[in-house]
Amino acid sequence: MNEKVTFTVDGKQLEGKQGQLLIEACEDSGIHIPRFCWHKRLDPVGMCRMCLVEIDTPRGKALVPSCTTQVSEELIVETESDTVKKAQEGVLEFLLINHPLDCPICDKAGECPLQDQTMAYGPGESRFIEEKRHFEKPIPVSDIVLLDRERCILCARCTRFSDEISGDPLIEFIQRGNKTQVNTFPDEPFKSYFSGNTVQICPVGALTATSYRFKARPWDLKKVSSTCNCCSLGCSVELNVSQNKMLRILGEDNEFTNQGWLSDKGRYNFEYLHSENRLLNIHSRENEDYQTITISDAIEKIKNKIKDLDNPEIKFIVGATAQMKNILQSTNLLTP
Amino acid sequence: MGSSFGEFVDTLGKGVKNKAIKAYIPGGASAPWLRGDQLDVKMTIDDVANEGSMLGSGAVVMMDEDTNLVLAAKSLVSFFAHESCGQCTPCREGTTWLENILERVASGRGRLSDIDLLLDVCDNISPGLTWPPKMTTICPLGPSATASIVSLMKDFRSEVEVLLPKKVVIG
Repeated sequence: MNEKVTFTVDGKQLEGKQGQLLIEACEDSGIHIPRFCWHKRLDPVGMCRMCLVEIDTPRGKALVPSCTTQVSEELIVETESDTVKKAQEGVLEFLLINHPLDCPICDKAGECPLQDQTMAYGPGESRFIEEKRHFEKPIPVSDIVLLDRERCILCARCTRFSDEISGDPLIEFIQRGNKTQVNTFPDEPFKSYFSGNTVQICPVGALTATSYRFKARPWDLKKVSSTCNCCSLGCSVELNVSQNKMLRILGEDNEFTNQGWLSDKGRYNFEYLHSENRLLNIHSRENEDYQTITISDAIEKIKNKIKDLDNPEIKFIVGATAQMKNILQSTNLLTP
Repeated sequence: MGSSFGEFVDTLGKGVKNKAIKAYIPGGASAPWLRGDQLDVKMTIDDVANEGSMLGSGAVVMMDEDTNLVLAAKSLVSFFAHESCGQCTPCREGTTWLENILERVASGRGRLSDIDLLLDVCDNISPGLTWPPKMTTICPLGPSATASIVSLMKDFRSEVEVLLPKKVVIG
């Protein structure tokens, strides 16, 4: 499997591993091939046809999707030939003819692969004068995820995620041909503990989360890498902050922990940060009544309490979500 | 096998009733059309392939001089649009788009640019519009839908043009 093979892309000699997908091998060598359906953590399906490249076959040049083609010795690939460019432009036009182009009110605008790749590879104008495909928009598929089937480009990322990764295939393709759509089973919501991941990997604004809808624009967000503290797994996350308010948490690809995924608890529980019921100050109970006190007062109080005890035995209860720093500090405090 | 399409229609099909044949499909909905003056083509795989079509499924369709070829192409494309599984983009979106354009043209709401548009959409499903077809799709169903349109534009373009508005030249 780890055998090295050499192949040619746009006249350049590249090296890849035997059995590696062409799109991945090109990516490793800095050649970007546009794509919608391909995701490195999901099985390739070759459905969107955006990553078409031209390869030399015994029967002449052929257009093949680079996400389902494996590299092999002496493979000759063209990623920027006129045929490839024409095909990619054609695919983008096909994807756009039934896309509502409601970017000004779409949450994805600004970080949308469809938008970005249309700018880079797509046609400048539409030739489509027919009526677009219409669906009721958006429909709630669960309490936290909304689905807009008009924006959907049917890349199967969400359906593959729930099938392969989270293992609860509650959203699926229904109908066929031009009527193909993603939907849940009747009377069965998309009640997955990992549903938020589908929102993150959706290459358009078809799947949106109730907590983030219409809250911000991606270019206004400050992005900070962090670690999720909702359980002991320690998933890598990206915190999206705007105007000093947490708006969204995304999973960050970390080979050793979460591989880019995140549970809904880690993704959406940040709402407590700005909750009205959140305790922001130290409270002291005086005669069945809570009073706000300062931290120095609180320490003074505790100090006096301990002083008054004879032979005190002190124990700390450290929460499961406490950081290593807190645990270390408590142990340091206890060991003289 | 071996006899010509003309003999085949006249003997087994008992001929066409006092009409001339304008075009015919030698082998199923996905095969490119042949013209009425090509009826002496022999019904063998090689002979039909030499004329740029195929025996394919073997379903021969004769279209006489009264046939509206635009509607004929439209109904063939509708068949493929209906049969498309919807998995890959060019076939799912392209076949329905072609169907819509042909319907518009057939009902007299065509535009001058529609001939180029039809051919270019076909080209995006089947690059080069060659025979046998190349494809941007997963399976050959999408490129099959383009065969009738390419034949229509190649041999019977005037039938489409009469349905389109006249070019207005000012001055």
